[in-house]
Amino acid sequence: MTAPIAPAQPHEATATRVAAATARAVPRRRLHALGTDVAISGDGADQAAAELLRLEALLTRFAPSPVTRLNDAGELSPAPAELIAALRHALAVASKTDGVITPLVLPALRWAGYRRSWPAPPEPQPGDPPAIADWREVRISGNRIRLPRGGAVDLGGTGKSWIAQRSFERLRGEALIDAGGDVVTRSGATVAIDVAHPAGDEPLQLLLPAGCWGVATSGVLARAWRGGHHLIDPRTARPADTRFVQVSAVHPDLRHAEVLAKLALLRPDAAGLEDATVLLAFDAHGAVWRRRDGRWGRA
Amino acid sequence: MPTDTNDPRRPDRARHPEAGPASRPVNRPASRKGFQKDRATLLLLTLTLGLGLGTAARFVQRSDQARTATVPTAGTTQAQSSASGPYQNQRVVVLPQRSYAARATSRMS
Repeated sequence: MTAPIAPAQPHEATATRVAAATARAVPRRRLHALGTDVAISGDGADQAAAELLRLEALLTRFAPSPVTRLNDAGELSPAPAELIAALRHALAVASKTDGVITPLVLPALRWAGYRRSWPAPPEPQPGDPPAIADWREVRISGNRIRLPRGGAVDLGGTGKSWIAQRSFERLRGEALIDAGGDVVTRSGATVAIDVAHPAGDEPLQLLLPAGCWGVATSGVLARAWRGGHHLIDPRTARPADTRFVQVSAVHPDLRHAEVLAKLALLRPDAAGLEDATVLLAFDAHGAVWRRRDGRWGRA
Repeated sequence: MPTDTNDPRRPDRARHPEAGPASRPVNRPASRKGFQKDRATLLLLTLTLGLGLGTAARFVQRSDQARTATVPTAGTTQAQSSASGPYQNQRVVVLPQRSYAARATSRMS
């Protein structure tokens, strides 16, 4: 048996590896946002970048924002329409996944150590994790949001793809946004997207037919530290003990791809995974798995 | 002379990756990182999902399943995105390693 793959160091986890682009999608913009490196290609790249930064400023929990005001006070009125829309999306995901992916994991994330914007050193807390509040008790009425007692919102589980997809709508024609590895693309020809090996070995490659596609990869080796990582299992309120170390999902909508990748990590046999156009996973020994016909098999 | 006619790294395979899925596992050098590499991971995975346009047709078209893809446009709606119908006839090809210049890399972040 080979040695399990070890967590990546922060600088490795955040390094960008965007390969040479074709000449189809120009102009290009690169920026640091959403805690990662973002690349935007296509007509309207400047507008898309501005939209991405605007949405991040509204939805971040790492700097003063409507989200931090909501978490501090337990309610917010009036809440920005973008926060309401992003939170409604997160709650819809929570409903569809039976709470497996919930926006109320923030207290557990903080307890696990993820308190500041990555790669700030994690600060795990002693004792047991706090209970995760019931997402069904979040109330949105008009432009008012109220959280349940003990609830605090982290949109990290759904927010990055939501922001990327919204920003993508500012692009025209052939376009691509690579938000630190979550990719949304539109092309009239085949697009090749690499799926990184979790330990840097040879990537797999997806050839996506013409059209709009989202490719999302989630794993427990990035934003990870000794004894923990950022993916919380709501059953235990602790960093999840997962069958796979990395899952990639392809779906026509990046928002769904991100959810499916995370859901497959947390519940590899959950209902609904068949919505993915492709699901690929790496286990801790580097073996590749693919889900097909409702079950995982070695690829 | 290489004997593995299914190796997608061969120049002729790189131009015609859809010459057909490998009929047997391809040979691949042992990982430099020493990971256990099942030969099966090197299969050309062709998912029954349909057909793209333009270059996609050259890449992925097979005469027995050739259909015109329903291509989503900008501002894909939730209904279009969640509906599997148009995509049931599309095929996303998964190659065991990089064969084309990639537009981006999907990775953990």
